[in-house]
Amino acid sequence: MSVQQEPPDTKFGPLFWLCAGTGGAVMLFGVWGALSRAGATRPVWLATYLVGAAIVHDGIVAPVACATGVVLRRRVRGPLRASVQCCLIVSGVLVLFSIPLVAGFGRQPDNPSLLPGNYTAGLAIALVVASASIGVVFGLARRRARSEA
Amino acid sequence: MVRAARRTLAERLLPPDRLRVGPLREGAFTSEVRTRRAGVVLGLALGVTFTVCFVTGVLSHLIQNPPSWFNWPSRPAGLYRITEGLHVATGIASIPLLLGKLWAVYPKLFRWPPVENLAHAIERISLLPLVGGSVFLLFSGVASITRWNPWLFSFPAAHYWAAWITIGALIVHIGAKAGLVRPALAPSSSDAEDPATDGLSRRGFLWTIAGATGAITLFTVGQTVRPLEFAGLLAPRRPTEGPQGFPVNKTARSAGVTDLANDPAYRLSIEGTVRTPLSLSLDDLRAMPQHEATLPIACVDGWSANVRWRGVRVVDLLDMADAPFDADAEVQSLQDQSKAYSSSLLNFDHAHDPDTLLALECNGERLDIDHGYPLRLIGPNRPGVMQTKWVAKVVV
Repeated sequence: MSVQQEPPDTKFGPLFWLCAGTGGAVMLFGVWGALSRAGATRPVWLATYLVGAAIVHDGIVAPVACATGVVLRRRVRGPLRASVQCCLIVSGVLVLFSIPLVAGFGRQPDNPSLLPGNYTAGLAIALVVASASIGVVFGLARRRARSEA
Repeated sequence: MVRAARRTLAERLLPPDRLRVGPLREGAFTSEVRTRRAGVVLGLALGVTFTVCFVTGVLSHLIQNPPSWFNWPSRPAGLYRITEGLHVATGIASIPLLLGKLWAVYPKLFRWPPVENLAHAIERISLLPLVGGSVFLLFSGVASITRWNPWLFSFPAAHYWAAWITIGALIVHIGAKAGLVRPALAPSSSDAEDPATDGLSRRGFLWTIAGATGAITLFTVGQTVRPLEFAGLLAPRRPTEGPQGFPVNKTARSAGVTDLANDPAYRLSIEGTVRTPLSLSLDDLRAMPQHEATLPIACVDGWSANVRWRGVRVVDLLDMADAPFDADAEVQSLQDQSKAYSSSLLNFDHAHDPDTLLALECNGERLDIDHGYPLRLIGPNRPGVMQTKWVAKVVV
């Protein structure tokens, strides 16, 4: 067994058992609700989506983020790295959110008020605005650090 | 003796160390920014946003499917606009918080040994509904407000029951982790110090997540906060974009009512337990006292817009038909009545509110067919899906 250097990250006292009981009951209520309205919830589909969501995150999203971090650590050195990391995190969130908007999966030809924007341009502007703001923040922080030194 | 025997059993049940490969190796994850403090701070933030989402979501569900003990008032007029706007905005704001949190604790997925005892096993198993549920709720919510439905279940039912499962798992998680909060946030915690690297500092990582949360909110919240409409680059709706200056949820064509709505023989009927059933033409309705009200249309999708409405008070129609004083009223559309959202219930408060109208006009013009021509229900403090369009019947 490996030696734990950190203190244990979970406490299993009376509070845990109280919460496990309450939370377990709430979960069972959710499962009961989903099963008792099977026509609407399609339990097999819903379960597939719930488990699939965890697999997609843990198996794709997180490894891609970790790999990007490793590449960044090797390729970008010096004070620029922090701002690049910051920029990639913010941009990544905005891009991920924008996928259904840019692709227009939900567009309905007879309802132009749904997804009314040009989201490719909107995303580009959002990324430029976010990156520029990050650049300014990091630039100011660096100047202040230099003047203090 | 017993303890020793137990340990041997536990040790025998543990997977052998030779299975400890890839991400399971010690030191496989190297980022110094990933700290317990980051996990705790982001966990607390998510605790707040998920609670807001859950409470406002359950409220919206109760309003649309009211049990006998629940009476949703008609005032304040803009309350639902705020609760549902908050539901969608905090859901969107949770995206960077959740991704940051999951990134901060990701190595724990590969901890060794995987399970230490029964309580630990319960805690770890509950992470599957917690993580899967959280990701699913945010994904399905975003997909739904952009009207992308890549699934075979009904979104409201699946989203609602998955929320109960997720919140249950969150309660288990809080029970296991509550003791960590104070030590992790203490100024003396080693996590508070920053390692000297070129990359983001620990504090910088949290500020980055905060910045991402702010950015995604700024670029979307204009769909309900009118002064920020100009910044809504990534908002699925613009509150001033649509026929007569506000968005359309369902068009007449997709509801299949175009011909019926344009039929010159259109009549509104008031029936049920009334003493004088009525059948009124558009001219009859126009000849009645007209009332004007500025009320928000607040969609379950999180957008809202203020609109000036003009039409006949529902309470005047109920009086004219000699409806029993304490009656509820069901407002039915020209749509096929077996379809979802083709009718809505006016409880006593809503039916008798002086601003609850069957509107003939909006923003000074005859209703556009996609806004419900010839006649639509509009009342204070109601979800948009309960502001029935193309009204054909009021059943008391």
